[in-house]
This record gives sequence, structure tokens and C-alpha cells, in this order.
Amino acid sequence: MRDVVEEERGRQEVATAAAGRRSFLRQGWSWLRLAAAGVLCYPLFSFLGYRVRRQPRRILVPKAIPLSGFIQEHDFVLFAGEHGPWAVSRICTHLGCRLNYLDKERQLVCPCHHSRFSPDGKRVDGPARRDLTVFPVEGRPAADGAGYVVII
Amino acid sequence: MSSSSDPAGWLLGARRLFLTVRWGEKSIVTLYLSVLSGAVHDMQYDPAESFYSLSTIEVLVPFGAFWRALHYYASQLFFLLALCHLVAIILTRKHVMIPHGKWVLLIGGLVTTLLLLFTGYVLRGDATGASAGVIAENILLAIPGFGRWLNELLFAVTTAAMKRVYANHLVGLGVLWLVLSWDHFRRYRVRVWLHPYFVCTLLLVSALWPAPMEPERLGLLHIAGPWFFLGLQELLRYVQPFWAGVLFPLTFIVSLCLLPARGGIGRQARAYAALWLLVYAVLSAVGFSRGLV
Repeated sequence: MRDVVEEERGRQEVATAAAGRRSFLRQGWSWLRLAAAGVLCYPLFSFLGYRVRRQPRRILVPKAIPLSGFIQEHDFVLFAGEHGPWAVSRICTHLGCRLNYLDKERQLVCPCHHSRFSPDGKRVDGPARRDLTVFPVEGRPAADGAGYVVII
Repeated sequence: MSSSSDPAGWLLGARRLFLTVRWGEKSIVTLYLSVLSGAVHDMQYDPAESFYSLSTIEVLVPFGAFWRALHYYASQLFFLLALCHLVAIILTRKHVMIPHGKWVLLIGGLVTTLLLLFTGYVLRGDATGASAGVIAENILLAIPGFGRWLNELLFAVTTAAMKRVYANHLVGLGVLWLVLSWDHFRRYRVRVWLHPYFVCTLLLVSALWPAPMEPERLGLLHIAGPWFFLGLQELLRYVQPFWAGVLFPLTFIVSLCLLPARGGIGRQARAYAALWLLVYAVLSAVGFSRGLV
């Protein structure tokens, strides 16, 4: 009788150990599949995350601007002053909206959250924290001497 | 017993009326119309020249304005009716009968619907759409760690223009919505022809009122974002993008997910959701009023 009970206990122990091993293998297999999925995500995010550096663009502005005047183009506002011409980006440094120049107030204003910048790109008011990007400007060699090239 | 003239009576009457409407069924009708009109609209839409393409559809392509308007109104209505459906489910306390995991998936489906609506705005490429796209991109970039990857997956409008947004609007988000909502969606068969007045009204509205469009112009001093993000736009004026654009809406989504929970957690979730909606309504009202000035 005791032998039968011990044999039964032994059989149960073996079954429990086997169940434990199966559970471990199943879990291990799940973790392996998860790891494989993670590894496969790497090529996906590497592909998506690569940023091709943009070539600098030379934008020709074939107009003459008066002193203290301005020309508003798609990507920048071009000013001319005593020390020569300069261009400031129209992209707000808060969240990237496109600024418009208010000549009456001599400020660039963001229509999204109303950040304000001076004509030389300095932040004046609003939620933006950084100044605007200032682009280099070349005078365009031309017969009449008019026009500018802005490099963005 | 409250009389019909006192406010409590009115409220009860309004609640009763609200609950008689089969919001879920109506929302599925608008979903079908949105998908159909979107597929038609897409035949002429070119994401490489989004605003130009949109303008030509609106002005030059025969019935272009109609198909665009139908897609716009059907999509907005789908989201609104889905929200009404959610409210009706909560008012009748049916949400506690749904297994919690499935409830969370359905909330995920609602969030995906909002993203679908939002990417549709961005794809317009007009002043509103372009600004919405860059703002969303910069909000995602404000997330430390994986913000950049999330942006590359969802928007990346600065580097990839409309490519990612278009792919997500057309396929990615739609598939995600189906995965999250399929178990719920497949249980209901809605026959569109059984809603003739509703469909005809929508078609008539689309024929008469064009969908909105805001061209870039000199001296544009205020852009009102999508109506469902007016509150967020207002909050972004005062609070940093990560807190206003990520954490603030995320807390609401979490509270929605916890609504069916029993006991203290459920009660707190309901209280927080109600407070959040009140704050958001005030912010939206302030944001809306700026456009009137």
C-alpha cells in the first residue's frame, strides 16, 4: 500500500516537473517571438528615422526693396537696413506655424498662438522661447544691381 | 414630481429624447458615406501638391466640391455620432457590462478616429492644415525618448511633406481602427437604405455648403485649428507643448479607459473626466472667441 502511494506521489512529482518545464518552454518561446518582433522593428525605425539632409537653396528675389522696407516671401521676410539686407525665417520657433509681418507694428506675428518677433528675429512676446533663424543674404550681381539671393 | 417647466424636468426629457436615438447605427451610416466619398475624392487628390490639388478639386473638377464636402461632413458626423453613442452607453451604464480590455480597445478606436479626422485636416494643405501638421509634429518631438520615432511614424511633415500623413490617413490609421473596433463593429449590420432621410439630408448639405478651406494669405493673423482641438490650441499659448499637447489629453484618455472600473477608481475617473471636459469646454470657448475678434 505504501509502495502504491509512493509510486503515485513520484508520478505526480514527475508530472509537475514536466508541466513546469513545458510552461517554461512556452514562456521562453513567447519571449523569443517578442524579441524577434523587436529585432524586426529595428530596420523599420531605422528606415523611417533617416533624415536626408536638405541641400541649401538659393532663393532669388529679383526686386529692390527700399530702406526700412520689406519683401515677404514664402519662407522668409527680407529686410533692408543701414547695414545691408537680411532675411528672417517665417517659421515660428514655438510650434512651427508660418509668421506674417505686420508693417504697422513692425513685428512678425504668429497666427497660431500669437508669438511676436522683431524684424531682426528677436523674440518679443508670446509662448515662443527662441529667436528666429536669420538667413544670409547676397546682393545679386546684375546689370541694374537690383535683387537679392537668400540662402536657406 | 417635477413639472415640464422646471429645469430638472427639461433635463430628464432631454435625456430621454437623447437615449431614443440609435447613435451607433447612425454613426456607421456616416462611416460608410465617409469611406465611399473618401475613396472617390482620392481619385483626384494628389498629396505631392496638396493645396493645389484641393483647390482644383473644389473649383475645376466636376462635382469635386460635392465629393469633398460629403467626405468632410460625413467624417465629422461620424466622430460626433460616435461620441453621442459613447455618451448614451455611459448614461445607460452599459459600459460596465463590457469586459474592461474590450472597453480599452474601443477607447483606442475612438482616439484613432480622432487621428483620422486630424490627418484629414492636415492633408488639406491650406493654412489650417499646414499649421496643424507642424504643430502636431513639434508636440510629438517634445516627447522625450521616443517622440522622434513617433513623429517619423505619424507625421514628419517637415521632412516628408504629406507622405506619412497620407499613408496613415489612407491605410495605417484605418487598419488600426479596424483592429481596435472589429470585435464591436462586426456585430452590427447596418443597412444604409433604411436611413433615407438622414442620408438625403447629408447629401443635400454637401451639395449646398462647401467644405471649409483657408488659403494662405498675406496678413493672416489668426488661424483657428480644428474644432476639436480649439481648447488645446488655447492651452498651448500658456503651457509648454509636452504638458499641454501630450500629458493633458493623455490624462483624459486614461480616465475614459478607467470609467467602467468599480469602486473608488471608477468614481475618481468619472469625476476627473467631467472636470477635464469642463476645463476643455472653457478653453475651447476662449479659443473660439479669438477667431471672432
